[in-house]
Amino acid sequence: MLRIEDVSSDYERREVLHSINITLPGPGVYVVLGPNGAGKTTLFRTIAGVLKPYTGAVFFNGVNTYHSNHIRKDIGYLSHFTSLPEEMTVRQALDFYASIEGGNSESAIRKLGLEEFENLKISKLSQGLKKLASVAKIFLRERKLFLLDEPTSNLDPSYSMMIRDMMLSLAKEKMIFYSSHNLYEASNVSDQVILIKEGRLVFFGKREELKTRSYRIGIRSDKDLKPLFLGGYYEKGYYVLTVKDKEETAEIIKKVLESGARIYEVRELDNPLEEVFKGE
Amino acid sequence: MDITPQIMKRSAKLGMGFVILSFLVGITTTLVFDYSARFGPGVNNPEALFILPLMVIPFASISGLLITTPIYLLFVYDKNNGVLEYLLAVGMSQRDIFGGYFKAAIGLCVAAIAPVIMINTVFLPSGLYNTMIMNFLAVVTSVSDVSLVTILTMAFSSMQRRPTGVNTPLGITIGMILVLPEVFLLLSFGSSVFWVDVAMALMIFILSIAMLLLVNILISREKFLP
Repeated sequence: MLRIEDVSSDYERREVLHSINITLPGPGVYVVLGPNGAGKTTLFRTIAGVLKPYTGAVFFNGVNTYHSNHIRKDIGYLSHFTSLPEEMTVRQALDFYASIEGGNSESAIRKLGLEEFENLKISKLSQGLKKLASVAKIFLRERKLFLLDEPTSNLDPSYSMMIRDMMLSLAKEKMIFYSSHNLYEASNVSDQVILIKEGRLVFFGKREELKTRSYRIGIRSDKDLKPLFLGGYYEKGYYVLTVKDKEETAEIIKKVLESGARIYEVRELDNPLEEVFKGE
Repeated sequence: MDITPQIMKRSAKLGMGFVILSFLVGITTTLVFDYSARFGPGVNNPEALFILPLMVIPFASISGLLITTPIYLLFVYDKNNGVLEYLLAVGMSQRDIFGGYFKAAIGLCVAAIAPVIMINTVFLPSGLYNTMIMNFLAVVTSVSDVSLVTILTMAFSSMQRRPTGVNTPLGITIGMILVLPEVFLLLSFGSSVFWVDVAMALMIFILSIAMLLLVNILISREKFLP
């Protein structure tokens, strides 16, 4: 269990997080969302025990993460810096960390499919591969909690998918904090959302419970849908409708199918989480 | 969790130019002063015979400081690319991290002085006892100087807010100014030079160790973040 109790954190007396209270009961993926400067990275650093909260405390399995060096080993922390000595090869860098915290570089390299690049210097890698090598270091040893600050930034879609799949598979037993700027990705990873704005927790719960404004969906069908739904219009082969929530989308799909039309695709043209990133 | 061997290796590899320069300065100056004491024009002048071997000591210190310079730069580099942040995240304390770089600096300094000691032992004309004293002074002076400059430079560097700041050279400069008296005053103390130098080295070393022990209190983890 992760308990964040009345945590306020600052950098040189500039308060960034204000009285955050969250209790996460057990395994799962928790997506942390918020616009730039909302305090997501500060929250991750505070949970990881890297940054001292000036009020409150973070407890993982009952132990204060700032005060216990031991508990921090159970936490896999991925910051958005690569945190790898660039003059080393991938293998050397992972061995370097394995010599400090224990673990096995071989299995981490295999897990991330980095065999082909293990003898290349970090400085010679593309941004995407650097990110991948950086992710590898959190798999050097067993962890109970993963704090992943934008783990898929700079990664191409196939690697992003690989990381997401790994996280989803891990989430059956482990607790995963995941921040992302990619709202579609965030929607796919989890329905548990932690929303932070200006350093304050504004929402924690299921994505469906997050009140969103209406958004657009596009339907590709074999029939003209205009007679069925008068408010819509065609755009790039999709019949576009504005809906309030998923329930309304389900109703529309049902109505289309009942009319005897076939649906080839339904997609969200706006992400319902987008407003999260707007400074409202 | 000890990062000392890795820091030594990385520093020597990244700063090979400094390593070469350090050995060059140490070996050359020791050879020059030892040779001068043995065969130079002042060979019959007791004052020259006293001063010339002592001149090896400041240059041994400079040699030690040269070989450890890449460690200060490595500390800044590791801070800026998030290595220090990760080390904190895996359970190291500020003191563990400072200690790793500190011990690596001392280790490299000792490596740089080793040839100085060997040359002194072979070439100094003043007998085994005096040679041992000279070597002892060279070691304590260099190690204490390196320890203070290292700890000050890391402290200043960790308080640097921007990657482009100049706290690192400022730390080196302040450290050097503080250790200069130890290096050069010893030339003014005549026969009591041994005790003066050892006392100063001891004070500097104790100050450095005290600062290292207090790092967890004096420097917050936030200062290690990129």
